[in-house]
Amino acid sequence: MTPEEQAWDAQLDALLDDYTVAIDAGNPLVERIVASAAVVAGTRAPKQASAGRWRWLWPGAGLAGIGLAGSVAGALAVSVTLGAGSPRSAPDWPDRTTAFTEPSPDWSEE
Amino acid sequence: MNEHDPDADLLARVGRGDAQAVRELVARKLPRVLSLAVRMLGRRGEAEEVAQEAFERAWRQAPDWRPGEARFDTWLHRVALNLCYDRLRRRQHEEPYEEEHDRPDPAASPDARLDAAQRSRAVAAALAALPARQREAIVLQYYQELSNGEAAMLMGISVEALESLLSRARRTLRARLLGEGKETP
Repeated sequence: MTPEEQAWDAQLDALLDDYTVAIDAGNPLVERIVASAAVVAGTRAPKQASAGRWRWLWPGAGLAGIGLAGSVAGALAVSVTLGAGSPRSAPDWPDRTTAFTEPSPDWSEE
Repeated sequence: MNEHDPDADLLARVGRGDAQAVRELVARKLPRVLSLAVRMLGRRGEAEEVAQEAFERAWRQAPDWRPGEARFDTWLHRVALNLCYDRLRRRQHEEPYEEEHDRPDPAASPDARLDAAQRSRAVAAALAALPARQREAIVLQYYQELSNGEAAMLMGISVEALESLLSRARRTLRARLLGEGKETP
Protein backbone atom coordinates (compact mmCIF):
# COMPACT_ATOMS: atom_id res chain seq x y z
CA MET A 1 0.00 0.00 0.00
CA THR A 2 1.40 3.37 -0.99
CA PRO A 3 1.75 6.19 1.57
CA GLU A 4 -1.06 8.00 -0.22
CA GLU A 5 -3.37 5.01 0.11
CA GLN A 6 -2.42 4.70 3.75
CA ALA A 7 -3.37 8.33 4.27
CA TRP A 8 -6.76 7.74 2.60
CA ASP A 9 -7.28 4.69 4.76
CA ALA A 10 -6.43 6.60 7.92
CA GLN A 11 -8.92 9.30 6.94
CA LEU A 12 -11.55 6.68 6.23
CA ASP A 13 -10.94 5.02 9.61
CA ALA A 14 -11.29 8.37 11.34
CA LEU A 15 -14.61 8.92 9.57
CA LEU A 16 -15.86 5.42 10.31
CA ASP A 17 -15.01 5.96 13.97
CA ASP A 18 -17.40 8.90 14.02
CA TYR A 19 -20.28 6.54 13.39
CA THR A 20 -20.98 5.51 16.95
CA VAL A 21 -24.06 3.78 18.29
CA ALA A 22 -24.73 4.88 21.82
CA ILE A 23 -26.97 3.17 24.33
CA ASP A 24 -27.45 4.81 27.68
CA ALA A 25 -28.13 2.91 30.87
CA GLY A 26 -31.65 4.33 31.16
CA ASN A 27 -32.68 3.13 27.72
CA PRO A 28 -36.03 1.31 28.04
CA LEU A 29 -34.74 -1.30 25.60
CA VAL A 30 -32.50 -2.68 28.37
CA GLU A 31 -35.47 -3.20 30.69
CA ARG A 32 -37.60 -4.65 27.89
CA ILE A 33 -34.93 -7.22 27.11
CA VAL A 34 -34.35 -8.08 30.77
CA ALA A 35 -38.11 -8.50 31.26
CA SER A 36 -38.35 -10.73 28.20
CA ALA A 37 -36.08 -13.27 29.91
CA ALA A 38 -38.67 -13.81 32.63
CA VAL A 39 -41.45 -14.12 30.04
CA VAL A 40 -39.50 -16.71 28.06
CA ALA A 41 -38.62 -18.63 31.23
CA GLY A 42 -42.28 -18.55 32.26
CA THR A 43 -43.45 -20.08 29.03
CA ARG A 44 -40.72 -22.65 29.05
CA ALA A 45 -40.62 -23.91 32.63
CA PRO A 46 -43.99 -25.74 32.86
CA LYS A 47 -43.40 -27.52 29.59
CA GLN A 48 -39.98 -28.68 30.75
CA ALA A 49 -41.22 -29.76 34.15
CA SER A 50 -44.03 -31.86 32.78
CA ALA A 51 -41.79 -33.35 30.11
CA GLY A 52 -39.23 -34.22 32.78
CA ARG A 53 -41.80 -35.72 35.12
CA TRP A 54 -43.05 -38.24 32.54
CA ARG A 55 -39.77 -38.83 30.77
CA TRP A 56 -39.30 -42.25 32.47
CA LEU A 57 -42.55 -43.47 30.93
CA TRP A 58 -41.42 -43.20 27.33
CA PRO A 59 -39.07 -46.25 27.14
CA GLY A 60 -41.74 -48.48 28.78
CA ALA A 61 -44.45 -47.13 26.52
CA GLY A 62 -42.25 -47.79 23.52
CA LEU A 63 -41.62 -51.38 24.54
CA ALA A 64 -45.30 -51.96 25.25
CA GLY A 65 -46.16 -50.55 21.84
CA ILE A 66 -43.69 -52.83 20.11
CA GLY A 67 -45.04 -55.85 22.04
CA LEU A 68 -48.61 -55.00 21.18
CA ALA A 69 -47.80 -54.53 17.53
CA GLY A 70 -46.00 -57.91 17.53
CA SER A 71 -49.00 -59.67 19.09
CA VAL A 72 -51.40 -58.22 16.57
CA ALA A 73 -49.13 -59.11 13.69
CA GLY A 74 -48.69 -62.67 15.01
CA ALA A 75 -52.41 -63.18 15.47
CA LEU A 76 -53.06 -61.88 12.00
CA ALA A 77 -50.44 -64.20 10.51
CA VAL A 78 -51.92 -67.25 12.26
CA SER A 79 -55.44 -66.44 11.16
CA VAL A 80 -54.35 -65.88 7.57
CA THR A 81 -52.40 -69.15 7.52
CA LEU A 82 -55.25 -71.23 8.94
CA GLY A 83 -57.79 -69.48 6.78
CA ALA A 84 -55.84 -70.25 3.64
CA GLY A 85 -56.78 -74.04 3.65
CA SER A 86 -60.25 -75.07 2.40
CA PRO A 87 -62.70 -75.80 5.25
CA ARG A 88 -63.87 -79.37 5.59
CA SER A 89 -67.54 -79.93 4.93
CA ALA A 90 -69.78 -81.94 7.23
CA PRO A 91 -70.16 -85.05 4.98
CA ASP A 92 -66.35 -85.43 4.96
CA TRP A 93 -66.40 -85.59 8.69
CA PRO A 94 -68.79 -88.36 9.60
CA ASP A 95 -67.84 -88.74 13.25
CA ARG A 96 -69.33 -85.33 13.91
CA THR A 97 -72.75 -86.79 13.16
CA THR A 98 -74.83 -87.57 16.26
CA ALA A 99 -78.13 -89.31 16.89
CA PHE A 100 -79.80 -86.00 16.88
CA THR A 101 -78.36 -85.00 13.57
CA GLU A 102 -79.19 -88.30 11.79
CA PRO A 103 -81.54 -87.25 9.02
CA SER A 104 -83.82 -90.35 9.06
CA PRO A 105 -83.52 -92.81 11.95
CA ASP A 106 -84.60 -96.35 11.20
CA TRP A 107 -87.35 -97.48 13.64
CA SER A 108 -88.62 -100.42 11.50
CA GLU A 109 -87.60 -103.16 13.93
CA GLU A 110 -89.33 -101.56 16.93
CA MET B 1 -13.85 -25.81 19.76
CA ASN B 2 -11.32 -26.06 22.56
CA GLU B 3 -10.93 -22.43 23.57
CA HIS B 4 -12.89 -21.35 26.59
CA ASP B 5 -16.03 -19.36 25.85
CA PRO B 6 -15.86 -16.28 28.10
CA ASP B 7 -19.67 -16.12 28.20
CA ALA B 8 -20.27 -19.79 29.03
CA ASP B 9 -20.52 -19.41 32.80
CA LEU B 10 -22.80 -16.40 32.58
CA LEU B 11 -25.00 -18.17 30.08
CA ALA B 12 -25.23 -21.23 32.31
CA ARG B 13 -26.49 -18.99 35.11
CA VAL B 14 -29.01 -17.45 32.72
CA GLY B 15 -30.15 -20.96 31.87
CA ARG B 16 -30.76 -21.63 35.57
CA GLY B 17 -32.97 -18.54 35.77
CA ASP B 18 -30.51 -16.22 37.54
CA ALA B 19 -31.99 -12.73 37.09
CA GLN B 20 -28.71 -11.01 37.90
CA ALA B 21 -26.96 -13.02 35.20
CA VAL B 22 -29.61 -11.92 32.70
CA ARG B 23 -28.87 -8.30 33.52
CA GLU B 24 -25.11 -8.86 33.27
CA LEU B 25 -25.40 -10.57 29.92
CA VAL B 26 -27.55 -7.76 28.54
CA ALA B 27 -25.05 -5.17 29.78
CA ARG B 28 -22.20 -7.12 28.22
CA LYS B 29 -23.75 -7.93 24.85
CA LEU B 30 -26.45 -5.41 24.04
CA PRO B 31 -24.15 -2.58 22.90
CA ARG B 32 -22.46 -4.88 20.39
CA VAL B 33 -25.67 -6.46 19.14
CA LEU B 34 -27.39 -3.09 18.83
CA SER B 35 -24.41 -1.54 17.05
CA LEU B 36 -24.35 -4.42 14.61
CA ALA B 37 -28.06 -4.10 13.88
CA VAL B 38 -28.03 -0.31 13.57
CA ARG B 39 -25.13 -0.42 11.15
CA MET B 40 -26.65 -3.22 9.13
CA LEU B 41 -30.14 -1.73 8.99
CA GLY B 42 -29.54 2.00 9.31
CA ARG B 43 -32.77 2.34 11.31
CA ARG B 44 -32.61 2.57 15.06
CA GLY B 45 -36.15 1.36 15.74
CA GLU B 46 -35.80 -1.76 13.64
CA ALA B 47 -32.36 -2.39 15.10
CA GLU B 48 -33.78 -2.33 18.62
CA GLU B 49 -36.44 -4.86 17.61
CA VAL B 50 -33.74 -7.09 16.16
CA ALA B 51 -31.66 -6.80 19.33
CA GLN B 52 -34.63 -7.73 21.49
CA GLU B 53 -35.52 -10.69 19.31
CA ALA B 54 -31.92 -11.92 19.32
CA PHE B 55 -31.87 -11.84 23.12
CA GLU B 56 -35.23 -13.62 23.34
CA ARG B 57 -33.72 -16.41 21.27
CA ALA B 58 -30.75 -16.45 23.62
CA TRP B 59 -33.05 -16.84 26.64
CA ARG B 60 -34.76 -19.80 24.95
CA GLN B 61 -31.42 -21.34 24.06
CA ALA B 62 -29.65 -20.77 27.38
CA PRO B 63 -30.96 -23.83 29.33
CA ASP B 64 -29.90 -26.16 26.51
CA TRP B 65 -26.65 -24.40 25.65
CA ARG B 66 -23.76 -26.81 25.22
CA PRO B 67 -20.44 -25.14 25.91
CA GLY B 68 -17.74 -26.07 23.43
CA GLU B 69 -19.90 -26.34 20.34
CA ALA B 70 -19.84 -22.64 19.45
CA ARG B 71 -18.96 -19.42 21.16
CA PHE B 72 -22.02 -17.63 22.43
CA ASP B 73 -20.83 -14.31 21.01
CA THR B 74 -20.49 -15.83 17.54
CA TRP B 75 -23.90 -17.46 17.83
CA LEU B 76 -25.52 -14.20 18.95
CA HIS B 77 -23.90 -12.31 16.07
CA ARG B 78 -25.19 -14.91 13.62
CA VAL B 79 -28.71 -14.70 15.03
CA ALA B 80 -28.69 -10.90 14.88
CA LEU B 81 -27.32 -10.92 11.34
CA ASN B 82 -29.97 -13.37 10.17
CA LEU B 83 -32.66 -11.19 11.69
CA CYS B 84 -31.16 -8.16 9.93
CA TYR B 85 -31.19 -9.98 6.61
CA ASP B 86 -34.83 -10.95 7.16
CA ARG B 87 -35.63 -7.27 7.59
CA LEU B 88 -33.57 -6.22 4.58
CA ARG B 89 -35.30 -8.83 2.42
CA ARG B 90 -38.70 -7.57 3.53
CA ARG B 91 -37.66 -4.02 2.69
CA GLN B 92 -36.96 -4.92 -0.90
CA HIS B 93 -40.70 -5.30 -1.34
CA GLU B 94 -41.46 -2.08 0.48
CA GLU B 95 -39.37 0.78 -0.80
CA PRO B 96 -35.94 1.58 -2.15
CA TYR B 97 -33.51 1.21 0.74
CA GLU B 98 -31.27 4.16 -0.06
CA GLU B 99 -34.03 6.73 -0.07
CA GLU B 100 -33.98 6.93 3.70
CA HIS B 101 -30.52 8.33 3.96
CA ASP B 102 -28.94 11.60 3.10
CA ARG B 103 -26.45 10.75 0.43
CA PRO B 104 -23.25 12.71 0.93
CA ASP B 105 -22.40 15.06 -1.86
CA PRO B 106 -19.75 13.21 -3.85
CA ALA B 107 -18.32 16.53 -4.92
CA ALA B 108 -17.75 17.67 -1.37
CA SER B 109 -14.13 17.93 -0.41
CA PRO B 110 -12.79 15.76 2.44
CA ASP B 111 -12.02 18.83 4.49
CA ALA B 112 -15.62 19.97 4.48
CA ARG B 113 -16.19 20.95 8.06
CA LEU B 114 -18.86 18.53 9.06
CA ASP B 115 -19.69 18.24 12.68
CA ALA B 116 -19.63 14.83 14.32
CA ALA B 117 -23.34 14.21 13.87
CA GLN B 118 -23.18 15.07 10.20
CA ARG B 119 -20.17 12.83 9.71
CA SER B 120 -21.94 10.03 11.52
CA ARG B 121 -24.97 10.42 9.26
CA ALA B 122 -22.76 10.52 6.20
CA VAL B 123 -21.04 7.29 7.21
CA ALA B 124 -24.39 5.67 7.97
CA ALA B 125 -25.66 6.60 4.52
CA ALA B 126 -22.49 5.41 2.81
CA LEU B 127 -22.66 2.11 4.68
CA ALA B 128 -26.34 1.71 3.81
CA ALA B 129 -25.55 2.21 0.15
CA LEU B 130 -23.02 -0.65 0.13
CA PRO B 131 -24.09 -4.06 -1.13
CA ALA B 132 -25.27 -6.09 1.87
CA ARG B 133 -22.35 -8.52 1.94
CA GLN B 134 -19.78 -5.71 1.76
CA ARG B 135 -21.61 -3.93 4.55
CA GLU B 136 -21.68 -7.11 6.62
CA ALA B 137 -17.94 -7.60 6.10
CA ILE B 138 -17.00 -4.10 7.18
CA VAL B 139 -19.40 -4.08 10.11
CA LEU B 140 -18.10 -7.38 11.44
CA GLN B 141 -14.43 -6.76 10.86
CA TYR B 142 -14.17 -3.04 11.59
CA TYR B 143 -16.94 -2.18 13.97
CA GLN B 144 -17.44 -5.48 15.78
CA GLU B 145 -13.67 -5.91 15.84
CA LEU B 146 -13.78 -9.55 14.86
CA SER B 147 -10.68 -11.08 13.36
CA ASN B 148 -10.77 -11.82 9.64
CA GLY B 149 -11.04 -15.51 10.47
CA GLU B 150 -13.98 -15.00 12.81
CA ALA B 151 -15.80 -12.68 10.41
CA ALA B 152 -15.24 -15.06 7.51
CA MET B 153 -16.51 -18.01 9.55
CA LEU B 154 -19.57 -16.05 10.59
CA MET B 155 -20.30 -15.13 6.98
CA GLY B 156 -19.64 -18.66 5.77
CA ILE B 157 -16.91 -17.60 3.33
CA SER B 158 -13.15 -17.96 3.06
CA VAL B 159 -10.78 -15.40 4.53
CA GLU B 160 -9.71 -14.50 0.98
CA ALA B 161 -13.30 -13.82 -0.04
CA LEU B 162 -13.76 -11.68 3.07
CA GLU B 163 -10.63 -9.69 2.29
CA SER B 164 -11.90 -9.09 -1.22
CA LEU B 165 -15.24 -7.84 0.13
CA LEU B 166 -13.45 -5.60 2.61
CA SER B 167 -11.20 -4.16 -0.03
CA ARG B 168 -14.13 -3.32 -2.33
CA ALA B 169 -16.16 -1.93 0.58
CA ARG B 170 -13.35 0.36 1.71
CA ARG B 171 -12.71 1.55 -1.83
CA THR B 172 -16.38 2.41 -2.24
CA LEU B 173 -16.54 4.12 1.15
CA ARG B 174 -13.44 6.16 0.40
CA ALA B 175 -14.98 7.27 -2.86
CA ARG B 176 -18.27 8.20 -1.26
CA LEU B 177 -16.97 9.81 1.89
CA LEU B 178 -13.68 11.27 0.81
CA GLY B 179 -14.27 11.68 -2.89
CA GLU B 180 -11.25 9.59 -3.68
CA GLY B 181 -11.09 7.76 -7.01
CA LYS B 182 -14.11 6.06 -8.47
CA GLU B 183 -16.38 3.82 -6.50
CA THR B 184 -16.48 0.20 -7.38
CA PRO B 185 -19.59 -1.92 -7.56
